[in-house]
Amino acid sequence: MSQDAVTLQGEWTIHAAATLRETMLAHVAAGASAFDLQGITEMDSAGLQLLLATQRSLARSGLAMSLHHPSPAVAEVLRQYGLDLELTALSEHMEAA
Amino acid sequence: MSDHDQDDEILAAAREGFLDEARDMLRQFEEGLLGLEADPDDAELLNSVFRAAHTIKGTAGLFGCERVVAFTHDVETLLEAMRAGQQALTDQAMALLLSSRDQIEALLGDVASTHGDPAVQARSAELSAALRAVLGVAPAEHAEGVAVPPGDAERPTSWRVWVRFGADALRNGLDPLSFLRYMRSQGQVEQLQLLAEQVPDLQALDPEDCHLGFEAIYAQACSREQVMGIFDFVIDDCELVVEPIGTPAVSDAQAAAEVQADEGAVDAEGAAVALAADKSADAVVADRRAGDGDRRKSSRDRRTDETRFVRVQADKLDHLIDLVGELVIASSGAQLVAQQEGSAAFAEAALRIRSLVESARDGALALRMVPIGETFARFHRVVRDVSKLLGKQVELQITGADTELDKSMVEVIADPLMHLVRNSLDHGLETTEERIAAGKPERGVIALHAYHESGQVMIEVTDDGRGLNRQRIFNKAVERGLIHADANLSDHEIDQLICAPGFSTAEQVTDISGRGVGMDVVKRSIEQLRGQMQIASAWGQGTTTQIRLPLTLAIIDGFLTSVGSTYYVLPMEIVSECIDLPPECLQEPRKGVGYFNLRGEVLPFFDVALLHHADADADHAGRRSLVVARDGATRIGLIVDRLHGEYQTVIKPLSSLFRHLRAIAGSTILGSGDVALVLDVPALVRFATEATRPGSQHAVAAWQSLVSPAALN
Repeated sequence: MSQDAVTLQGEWTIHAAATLRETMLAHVAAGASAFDLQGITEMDSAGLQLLLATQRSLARSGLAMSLHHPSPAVAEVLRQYGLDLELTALSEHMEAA
Repeated sequence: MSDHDQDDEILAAAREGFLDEARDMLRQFEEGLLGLEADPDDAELLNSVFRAAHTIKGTAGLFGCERVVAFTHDVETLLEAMRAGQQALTDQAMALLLSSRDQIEALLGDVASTHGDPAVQARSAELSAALRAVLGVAPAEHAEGVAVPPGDAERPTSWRVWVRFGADALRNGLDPLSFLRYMRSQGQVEQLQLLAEQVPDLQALDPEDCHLGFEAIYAQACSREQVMGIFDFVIDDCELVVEPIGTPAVSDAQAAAEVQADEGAVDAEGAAVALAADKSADAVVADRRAGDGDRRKSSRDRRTDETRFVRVQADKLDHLIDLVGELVIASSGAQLVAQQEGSAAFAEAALRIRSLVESARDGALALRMVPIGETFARFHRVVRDVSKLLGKQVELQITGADTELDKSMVEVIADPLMHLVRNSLDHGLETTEERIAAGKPERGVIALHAYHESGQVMIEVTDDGRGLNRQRIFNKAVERGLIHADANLSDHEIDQLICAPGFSTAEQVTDISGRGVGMDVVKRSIEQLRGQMQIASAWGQGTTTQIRLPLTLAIIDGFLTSVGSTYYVLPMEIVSECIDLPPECLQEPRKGVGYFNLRGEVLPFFDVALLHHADADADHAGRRSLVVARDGATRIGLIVDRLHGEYQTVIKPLSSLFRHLRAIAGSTILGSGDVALVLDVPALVRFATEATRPGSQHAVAAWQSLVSPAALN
């Protein structure tokens, strides 16, 4: 499965966000929906936001995004936001009181 | 991991900024309070005091300075009550708030240590208790040295935090992640829910806009302000709802959510209503207290302040000024060449460059200049505190606060000024009873006055007190062996005696100014700045201490002269006229020192040739001239060989090797590459007056002592 995955790389931060958006648009246009995250060396909220936007774009075309091999940097951001690899909340069942 | 290291680094740098800002805020706090003392009804002043305290607390919280947060919270609570009109600004409250200011400063100074100075901690607890006592709140349990915020008993143990960041948050470097990390470092973050529904698809995404928010339960026993404080940096660029959870005793008012809307988007009130509607199930009560608007304003003010000021390292600035100085010299050189070449076009170009370079130079120099007002302003507090202590009514008048002088000088001048002000308060001004008896207004006046005169900065400290008791000073000076009992001194000379080393007229050493540091120390520190200090006094009417400081780094409009092959520059401002050498100057040619008649006025003169031990009667080419220079009211004549005219020059301070040369203020390089010496005219005038005084046997020797032979030969 991850063989087909497009490998994402570099710093996924606000500084690269504009370029990354172009890259992701190209990937989506090329029909990619699976992404390998192990090459991402750094990530901030802008980076996460890009993944969320990609997921949304794919959903428009009826596709589900799948993410693989989160690098430590990605894992840390997901952990801080309490998200799993589907980018949904880990504690979905827990309603905010 | 490296992420964290980087965060630490950024935090350390930001902490410096925080401490700087906190100091500014403390100044605002103090100024506001002192203003309130004069005008207790000024709501804007009270707001500014409150904002200052709030800002300190908010940023301190962000940096984990819990001791500062806990203490400042109590200060803020009292101020809040005042704003709400529940508490009057009594003398007691004022004294407490002023002490609190000092305490916050102490706590900030202590921020670096992990456990805190126990003495500072104890004082915190004491003052906190006093602050609460004013409001009639029972003192909370303070666990020693532990960062437990006060008033736990009334605090909910967790808060629901709902925050949506503004579009610019990421661009401003305010990543929601850092707030989450901070919250996690302070307490438990539970049931975190990322608010991502506003993230558009890739096509529509501006990848630098922030579309995120989060909702979380924040399990930390603290006040609402503390929770809000976490978001202080983004408070006007986010929507924030903080609600207490699981506290039975929370009143409606306390449960009110505070809403801050991005002011660019929706009016805050509208947003609050909209939010309340959205979350009506949660029964959010949107409450905009008067303070919120102020708070938003304050962060906006802060932001404009930040854009208006740039912090620059002092040595970079010095380097720039040095370079500009070289540029001025180089441009003069170019102009000289242009003149020699006789090319009109070249001369014109050189002239244009020169005028631009001069503007650049003025601009560069202005960078180092700061108004003295900031130094003056701190005396408000001193005057207030000391006059209370002494039971005197004193008003401090400040004029010329925007007079600028070199930053390095401003720092050094503060201590001597402090001493003078304290002296005036303690010894100068009479008690209220004495003043009434003397038919003077009950309220004494101390005036600080600064202005520029003849390229120098003048600072005057004036009081309208009793003035100097000359008889007592005279007797004391005789007693101390400073003068002979039958010395014949003018009033002015007697006044200056109080600056003699080891002289103190106060019969009893008081707490205020008699700490063994006398006026001689003040005088010496002024002289170290190449300045002068003079005292003038009128019995029963007051005393004025005048401090005259040079603009050390200044570039001066100079008047270029030469003696033999040596060039001398005189500051243009002090040159009053140039005349042919009067005949009387030639009468005693060997001496080179004496008096001449200037339109009926008798003035001392000196031959500048004596400076480098040239014989005054040596064969000086052609006609010599006499430059009449003045220092304040005193004028002297300086004999030089040639006059070269106006010359703008950068004073380069002499190296420390030559610092003791009092006749030379600095040096400069001429366009031709020659070195010119800048004469320190005030020093010359002083020596001229002394050396030519009748009975002075060693005029030439005194003159030559100005310049040590080793230095210039």
